[in-house]
Amino acid sequence: MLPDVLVIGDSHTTALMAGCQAHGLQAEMLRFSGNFWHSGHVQFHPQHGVWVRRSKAMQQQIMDVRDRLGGRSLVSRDIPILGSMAFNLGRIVPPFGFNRHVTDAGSFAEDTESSYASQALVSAYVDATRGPQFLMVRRMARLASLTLVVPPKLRVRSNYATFSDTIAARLRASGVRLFDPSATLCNEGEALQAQYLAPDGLHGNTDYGSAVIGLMLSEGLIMRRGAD
Amino acid sequence: MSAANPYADLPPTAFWRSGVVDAGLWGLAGLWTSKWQLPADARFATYGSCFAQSMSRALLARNMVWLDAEPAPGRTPPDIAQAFNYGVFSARTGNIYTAALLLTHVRMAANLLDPASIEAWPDGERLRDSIRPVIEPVAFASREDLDLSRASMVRAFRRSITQTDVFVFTLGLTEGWENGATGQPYALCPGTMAGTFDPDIHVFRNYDYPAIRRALSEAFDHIWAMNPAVRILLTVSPVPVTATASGDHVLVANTYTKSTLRAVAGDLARSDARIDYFPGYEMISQPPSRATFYAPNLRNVVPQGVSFVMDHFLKGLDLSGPAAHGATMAAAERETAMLRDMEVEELVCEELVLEKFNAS
Repeated sequence: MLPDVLVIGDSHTTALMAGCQAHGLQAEMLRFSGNFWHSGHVQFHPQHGVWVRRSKAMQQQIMDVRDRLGGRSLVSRDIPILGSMAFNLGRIVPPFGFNRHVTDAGSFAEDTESSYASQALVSAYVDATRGPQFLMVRRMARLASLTLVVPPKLRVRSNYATFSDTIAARLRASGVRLFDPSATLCNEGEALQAQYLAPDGLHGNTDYGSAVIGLMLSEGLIMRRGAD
Repeated sequence: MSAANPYADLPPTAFWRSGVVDAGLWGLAGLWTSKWQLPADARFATYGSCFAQSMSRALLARNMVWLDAEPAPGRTPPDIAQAFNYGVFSARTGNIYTAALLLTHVRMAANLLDPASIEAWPDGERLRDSIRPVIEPVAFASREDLDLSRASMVRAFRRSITQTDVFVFTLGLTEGWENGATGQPYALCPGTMAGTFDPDIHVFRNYDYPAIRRALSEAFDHIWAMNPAVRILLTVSPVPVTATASGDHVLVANTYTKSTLRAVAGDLARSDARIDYFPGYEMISQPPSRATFYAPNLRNVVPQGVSFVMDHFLKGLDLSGPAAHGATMAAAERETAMLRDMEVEELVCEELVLEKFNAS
C-alpha cells in the first residue's frame, strides 16, 4: 500500500514526520542533512526522483524507499510530497552574518558595529546559494503534488526571518506551493511559542509537527489515502 | 659664468636632463619620499576617483594593509561582491570625484550632516542614492532600504577614518553637478546613469582652486577631529576626464582640471606636515612615459602603469616604525588580501558613461 505522504527534506522533517504519525498518516521519510542540500549534493534525478551524489549510504536509502513505493520514482503523481528543503537557513544565515551584516532597521540600530545589507543584496545572495535548489524544487513541483513547509519562525526580526521570507517569496513566485505554519501558530508579530520548540531551540517539536500536519489536513493540503 | 649660484649644488634629480632624460622612464628615482615614518603594519584607507580603485588592489597585492571597513557578507560569491561594489574602496562610497562630494561624506561621518537628508532619485518603483547612484546593480527597494544602506556606508566610512593610519584620497575632477537650491553635490550628472536631469534644479559647477582647497581643508579638519593621528595622502588621478560641460575642448578642460587639482594637492601638502602628495599623476601622464601607460583610448591606465606607480609608492614609503595593530588583525587582513588577489580585476568607472553622450 502506498503511503499517504512522502516527507523529504532536512532536519525539519523530523517534526513533520512525527506530526504525520500523530495523525495516523502513513508516511515515508527521507532526511538528509541541510549541509547536503546546501552543498548541492542532493539533486533531482529523472529516474529516482531524488539522488545524493557521493554518498552510497544515502543512495541506498533512496533505493530502499523506492522499493517500498513499488519501484516508483520518489517524485511521482501517486504520492504527495511534504518538503522542508530549499530553506536550510542554518547553512546560509550564519555565514551571511559573519561580518555583522543585518537586514532590518532595528538590528542595525541596536548593533552600532553592524552593516546593513540591502534587499537586493539579500536576493542576490539567496539566488547564488539557493539557485540549484530552486530549480530542483520547481521540477519536483511539476511532476508531483509538492508542498514545501516554511521552517518554524524562531525569531521575529532577524536575518533568519529575512532569509526565510526572501526564499519563500522566490519559491511562491516560481509557482511552488508553500505552507507557512507561522501564520496560524504564531501570534501577530511574535515568534513560535516555546511549547512548540524542540530542546535545541532550532527546530519544532512533536507538538509543533502535529499542529502543522493538523492544519494541513484541515486545509486539504494532504489527506489520508482513500479519503475524499 | 658665475660658479656660485643656488643651482650649482643641486642633485641630478633637480635637472630635467639628468633627472628625466638621462634617467629614462625605468630609471626615474627619488620621485617621492614619504614625509612620515609609519608603523610596519600601517593601515591605508583609500577613496576617490577611479584610479584609487587600482591603488587599493595594488596595496593588497603587495601585502600591505588595506583597510576594508565595509566588507561583503561572509561567503558572498566574488561576482556578487563586485557587482555590489564591495572591496573597491574602504567603505562603499563609490567613486568620489570631487572635493565637494568628499566633504559631504566626511560631514555625514562626523555627524554634521544627516545622511537621510541626501536626495533619493526615483528609478521606476525603486530608488537610487544620489551620491552613490550605481553602488548596487539594482536600485533600492524603498526609502528605508536606501537610507539604511547609506547609513551603513557612513558608519563604515567613519570607522575607516578612525581606524586607519593613512587616508589616501585621489582627486579626480573639478567639474560636478549640484542641486542649485540645497547645494548638495552629486556623484554624477543626473540623467546620465540615474536620476532625471532638470535644468531648473541641477547646476553645473567647475570648482576652482579656492573652492577645492576650502572643501578639502574643511574635510580634513573634520577627519582630524575624528582621528587626530591620521595622515592624509593626496594623489591626482592621471585618468583624463571623459567629457566636459565647461564649454572648453575636452583636452583643454582636462588640463585645467588636473592642473588645478595638482596645485591644490601640492599646496596643501606643503602647508601641513600631516598631508603629503604622492606624484602618481606625474608618473603616468608626463613626458617620460610618452603615454606608454595609457590604453589605446588614451584614458584608461593599463595594469603595468598601476604597477609602475605602486613600485615607486613602496620605494618612497617608510614603514620602519613598530607594528601598531597587533598580529591578529594583520593576519586577518592578509587573508583578505589573499582572497582579493584571486578576484578578477575589473574597475568600475561610472564617469565613462559620459562617453555614450558623445554624438561624434
